[in-house]
Amino acid sequence: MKFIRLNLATALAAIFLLATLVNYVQHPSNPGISTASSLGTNATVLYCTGLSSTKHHESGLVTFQNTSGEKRSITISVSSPDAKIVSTKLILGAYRSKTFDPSTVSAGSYFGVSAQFNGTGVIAQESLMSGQSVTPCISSGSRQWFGAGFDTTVGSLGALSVYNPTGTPAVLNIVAFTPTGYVAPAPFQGLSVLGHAENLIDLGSQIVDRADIAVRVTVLRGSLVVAGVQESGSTQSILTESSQPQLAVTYPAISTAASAYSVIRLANSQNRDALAHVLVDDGVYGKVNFTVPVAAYSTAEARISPNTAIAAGGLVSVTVKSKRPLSSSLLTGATKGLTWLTSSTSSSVVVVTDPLKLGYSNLVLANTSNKAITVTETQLNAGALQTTYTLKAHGTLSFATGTRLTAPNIATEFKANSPVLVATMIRASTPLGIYPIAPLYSR
Amino acid sequence: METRAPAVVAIVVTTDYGLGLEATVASLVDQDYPSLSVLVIGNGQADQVPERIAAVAPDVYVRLLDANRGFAAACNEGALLVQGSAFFLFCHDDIRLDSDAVSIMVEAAYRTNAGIVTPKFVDYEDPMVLLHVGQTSDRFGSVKERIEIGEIDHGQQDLERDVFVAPGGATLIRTDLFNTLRGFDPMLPALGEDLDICWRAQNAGARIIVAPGAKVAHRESIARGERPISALGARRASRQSLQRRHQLLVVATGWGVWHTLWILAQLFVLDVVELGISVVGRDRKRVRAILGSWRWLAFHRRHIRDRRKHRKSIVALTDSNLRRLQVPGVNRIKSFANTLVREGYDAARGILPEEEPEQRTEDRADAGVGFGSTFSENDEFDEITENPNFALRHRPSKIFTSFRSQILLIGAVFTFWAIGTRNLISMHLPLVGRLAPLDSWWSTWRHFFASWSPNGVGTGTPGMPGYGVIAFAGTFVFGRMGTLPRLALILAIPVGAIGVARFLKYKVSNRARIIASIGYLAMPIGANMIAQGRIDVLLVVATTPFILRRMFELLDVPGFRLKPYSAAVPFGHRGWRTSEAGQRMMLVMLVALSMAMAPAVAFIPLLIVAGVWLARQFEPDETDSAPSHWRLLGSVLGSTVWFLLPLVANTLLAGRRALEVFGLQRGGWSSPDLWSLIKGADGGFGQAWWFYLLPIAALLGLIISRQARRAVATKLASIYVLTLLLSVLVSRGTLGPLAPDLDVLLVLQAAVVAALVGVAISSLEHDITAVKFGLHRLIATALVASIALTAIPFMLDSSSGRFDLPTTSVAESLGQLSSSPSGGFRVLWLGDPSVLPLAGWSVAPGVAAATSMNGLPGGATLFTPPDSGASDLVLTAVRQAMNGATVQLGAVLAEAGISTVVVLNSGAPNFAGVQSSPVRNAPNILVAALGHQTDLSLSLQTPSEETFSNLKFKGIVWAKQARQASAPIFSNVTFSGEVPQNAIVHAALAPAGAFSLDVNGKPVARALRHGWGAIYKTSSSTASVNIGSLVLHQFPLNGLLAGFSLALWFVVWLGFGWIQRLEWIFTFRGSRKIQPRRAREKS
Repeated sequence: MKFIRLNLATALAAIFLLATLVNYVQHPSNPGISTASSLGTNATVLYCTGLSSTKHHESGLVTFQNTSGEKRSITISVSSPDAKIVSTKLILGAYRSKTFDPSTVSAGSYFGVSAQFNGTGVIAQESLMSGQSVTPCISSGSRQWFGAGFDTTVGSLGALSVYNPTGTPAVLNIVAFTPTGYVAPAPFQGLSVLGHAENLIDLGSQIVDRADIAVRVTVLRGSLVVAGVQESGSTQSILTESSQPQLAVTYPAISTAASAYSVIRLANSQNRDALAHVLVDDGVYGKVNFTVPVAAYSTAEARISPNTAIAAGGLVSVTVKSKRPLSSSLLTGATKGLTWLTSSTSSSVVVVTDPLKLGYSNLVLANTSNKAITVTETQLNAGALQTTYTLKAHGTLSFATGTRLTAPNIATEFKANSPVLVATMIRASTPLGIYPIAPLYSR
Repeated sequence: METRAPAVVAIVVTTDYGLGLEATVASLVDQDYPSLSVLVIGNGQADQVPERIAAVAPDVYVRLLDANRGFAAACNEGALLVQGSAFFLFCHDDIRLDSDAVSIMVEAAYRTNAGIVTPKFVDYEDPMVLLHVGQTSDRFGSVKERIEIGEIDHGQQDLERDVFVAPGGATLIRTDLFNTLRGFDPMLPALGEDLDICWRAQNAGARIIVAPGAKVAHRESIARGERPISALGARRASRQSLQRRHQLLVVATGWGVWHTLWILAQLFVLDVVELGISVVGRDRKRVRAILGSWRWLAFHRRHIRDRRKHRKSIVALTDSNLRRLQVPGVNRIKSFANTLVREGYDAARGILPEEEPEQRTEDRADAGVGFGSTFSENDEFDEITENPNFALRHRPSKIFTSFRSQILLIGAVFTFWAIGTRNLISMHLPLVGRLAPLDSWWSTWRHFFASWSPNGVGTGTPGMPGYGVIAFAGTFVFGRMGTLPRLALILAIPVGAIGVARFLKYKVSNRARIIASIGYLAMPIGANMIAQGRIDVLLVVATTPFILRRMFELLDVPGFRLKPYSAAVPFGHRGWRTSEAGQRMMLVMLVALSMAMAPAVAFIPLLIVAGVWLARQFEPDETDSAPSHWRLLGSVLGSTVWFLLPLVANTLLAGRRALEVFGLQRGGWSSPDLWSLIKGADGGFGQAWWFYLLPIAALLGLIISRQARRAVATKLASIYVLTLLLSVLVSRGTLGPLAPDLDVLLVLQAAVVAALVGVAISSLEHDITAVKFGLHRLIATALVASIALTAIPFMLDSSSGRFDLPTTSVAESLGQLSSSPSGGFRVLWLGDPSVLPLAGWSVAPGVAAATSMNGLPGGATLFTPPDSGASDLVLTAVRQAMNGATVQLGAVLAEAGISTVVVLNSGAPNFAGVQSSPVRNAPNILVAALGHQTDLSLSLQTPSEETFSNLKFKGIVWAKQARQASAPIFSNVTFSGEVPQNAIVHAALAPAGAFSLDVNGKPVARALRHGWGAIYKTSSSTASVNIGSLVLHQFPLNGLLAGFSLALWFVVWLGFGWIQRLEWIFTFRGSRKIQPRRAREKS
């Protein structure tokens, strides 16, 4: 081939190869929408919904915590299905916390609260007046929301609190999954929520007297902040975080104490049957395995306590795995009512705090990966005080919260070297562990 | 011996050293006619004639004339010497008569009562070939042969018949007729005297016949150029000039008065047309001949009067009867058309050939316009004949080598193009790309000179030079601005295709040029730019091949600088254009013109220089005058800066956004990947596999090219690869904010590929046999198949009649945009920069932002300066929203008077089977972020767009009174109207200092808001109604800058010889007689 002098051909080929390399190495994709629904310390707005007034049950509260060293101004807007939108302002000093009761400014029965800050560093959680059901506020609306573990049986209230934080009227569909299959009541299709409006949707109005109901909310237009509200006897729970279907989920601390009732409710929103493998690790007696079949578009329960196969007497770590993604939630309690906790998505950072001074007894961290990880603990308002721990594969680490959440410290951050960390806080109770609380912030 | 045969005197006129004189005289002496005398007239410089005649015919009379006054004068002189002859036989000195020729002619004259008899002329060397069997003429004196050129004599013409013209050579004329006609006209020294005497003989009622039995071989040494025309009065004239002016003389004196005027008028029109063709074809000789013929006619008007008087005295035929003897129609047009179809344009222009007329009769494979002969005038392109194997092993296909087939091919392409663009002529142009309705001609000029433009929240930066280009173009369509985008859509690509053909001129065959041009048409970038309404890029499509050609010429790429640049000519004088400085300036102006519409064109010279430099690093050219590549590049771009001063000023003001002048960063997820870029596809066209064919053909051409073709091919290939690399880097976002418009880069790629295809065809014609690895047939087959298959996409592209330009756009469907009846409002357009219907600024990769005032984009926002200025407020707010840092975007946008936010995913809605438009999704995070804003309300959502209403909108100008809500004031059209008392008036018009608020004629104090907006506090007054207006107060610095640029263009234009041409305007010497050029040169 006299015609191609290799020098030039080589140079041109090299440039072409470089172009090919760039083409394949650097392939930008359309950045996806973040599905994280937990609040972040850099959020400038937080939404809290599912709050009730005393008219209905127990007054819901929002507690703001300023983790920054500067004063923050908070503009609060309160919406209610049966009252006008009311706005108010709060000033939050550096490292201070304040609790806001929406029923003090609005005459409604259920509330959606929008809080906008003039900077970052403010975190918020909602809870009931009694201190039950502490759950983080959400930093953005979403287009899809899952919730598992609702009951509409007699004596229970299963409802969705839907808050539209934007000016865009939203349209949504609600589909329910029950132990017997799929339900899509016509009145729950094409529901609209006006801009900045708060609606309460009673699942029991269409799905009567059913236990173990899972729902999928699909927002067709706009975005919504959804919270599940579950009243079980005298116990009320609010579930703000979505129970995203996952192939594996870990609950670091579930009570197996005598007289404690603990059950994981599973929902399969897909068209194929799933088989959930439940692995219970009590750290003392060894591990217990059992399986739970979950039919397509159905729900099922994995009972942890009482369970004759599992030794009673403390906190266990439970991992549920399946070849098909499942939504799940944890219900715990004693004789009266059940507390509701959604599954957490594993993350690399966990922030725990106790602005209401409820007094948590335990914090349990779990490593969901099969490799050991390093976890660094930092107390946010205590200078650069840091402690490092090693968490073995699929292992748990339990802390007595002690002084971690007392003044002057306002929050503690646990940071792992990979996003495989989940955490649960346990309030002091009898029997132990029937009030598990999700951490305030994980991402 | 006594004879009763009428006496015939043969008068042989010989000039200089006539090679065939002896043979002519000998053949006359050998005639069997009993009463034939021979008289030889030595017509100047004929001292040797008596001696030569004596050697062959001692009895022949010889008369020597002292000067060569031409054939006609010599014949007349000879006729005066003779007494008592019945016939004259006027002979040239290069003929050879059969021995019975004179007998047959005289017999025919008597039998038919003809006044003039002409024999059958055959070729001197090959008597089997007919030259003339009499001739005819049309009414314009254009002579036409009665036989085909080169016709073989089978006796098919051997019937005596009337003819109109007896061609010169051997003409038998009755003596009385000759005397009646007063002989030949001595004003016609050569060429045309035969037509003249025959025309006059016809006028006199004489019959002219051809006697084919009399056979005369004629050498036609003058017509063949074997000897010059040396007669007095004809020495400096070309044969063409002589023939034209003699025809003109015959026509001017051959008809009655009215007929003459009418026919001369027609002839004038014909000559004007031919003059135009000659000017276009740079046929200077023909131009001179045409102009000279009319000048000669005017100069000899006295002679014309004399001839007309004589005609009047002898005329026996009416004009209508004379017309009946002639052929109908216009011979010249017929001849032009026939030759054009058969032999091509160059041959057609030579319907009155000067040299080697016999070449027209040959049909060699390498003659005419075939690729062999037209490949190049440069010897180094013609090694084809040096390859001994070529003739034996490979004969290139003759398809599309004849001019007729090429014309048909061009016609077919033209037809397809006309079909493909048929709907663009009259269809409604959608609001996509840069098809926003243009403002009026005057308004567009004002945008160019404007001190303030409404881009973003308003800017006081200089007007973009693109407005100047559009306004200037609008001048040529008499202000019909609506025609400009249509012209761009329809003509840009064909102009670019012509540019490709010009690029390859003299380098490859006509066939290769045509195919390369078709390749350029078929490259998907052009069709995609039509489909996307990108008239800015379409201008680049039109100009890039010309830029490429001029760059190659200046870089002295082999074969591109056909002749050295002329010596330095002073600026403004004729000839400056052809000097190196002039050529460089033309390139600069071309680049500047293109950059005014699409600044990314700056990368085209850069890539060309880089490509040529790269290729020369490995394969240097053997040129001595190759300039420094980078110095040339610097010179070109540096000079361009001066022509685009407003753009340069804008860029310098832009700071960190300066790089955005070349283009905005597109979303990597919707940008074409490497394989699409190779095909040149950025849109709906070009996705099919067959669009790889042209690049493949180009690659094959690179492989098989040799010598000079290879020198061109390697440079083109280097440019292609470098452009591809840059395109990939831009497409993938590797270069960050430096993101020259991808489509502009693809245009250069397309031009290079098309040129390479032309080189490939040429290589196929010349180099394929030299490929030694035995795959030449395979390569040839693949190459031809690749190129042939390109017709498929080209035809498919043209099926919609509008190259898939949508009939409606997303933007036009947004009826709800007119949300504010007063105060004005802005619409914020967000989306991929390639789908926005107006130019904007970059917010993030894949997101550009731009605003329009009071609804849809218009002519005022066609171009956006790179300096975002106060509009950064909007861009930053959008970016913060995307990052989740705010949910109150509406409140920020309201400060900028934005009422609506439109996020576009595509320029036009997609309807299956009806229209399609490329979908380039905005980042999901943008749509999600907007959805999360507490003060924006989604009002419309389709796959193509999402529209949000701003709940916090207040107007562009609004007033806030105590304890009242803000309310817009003023009208949508003008910033004037009623102003409330004791109110704070906000104006979202930047820069704030450019405006002042006058209330009841008095200015109101101004304060800044957010660093860019203005607030005015109105006070109470006694007037029942306060009328206020916002008035622009800005020093016209921008106008001065634009004026300076415009003046610079004008001055440089004057430099192309116009200063010299228009000198009289400045010197007031209009009455000075202009010297002829020759005289000037002498002086």
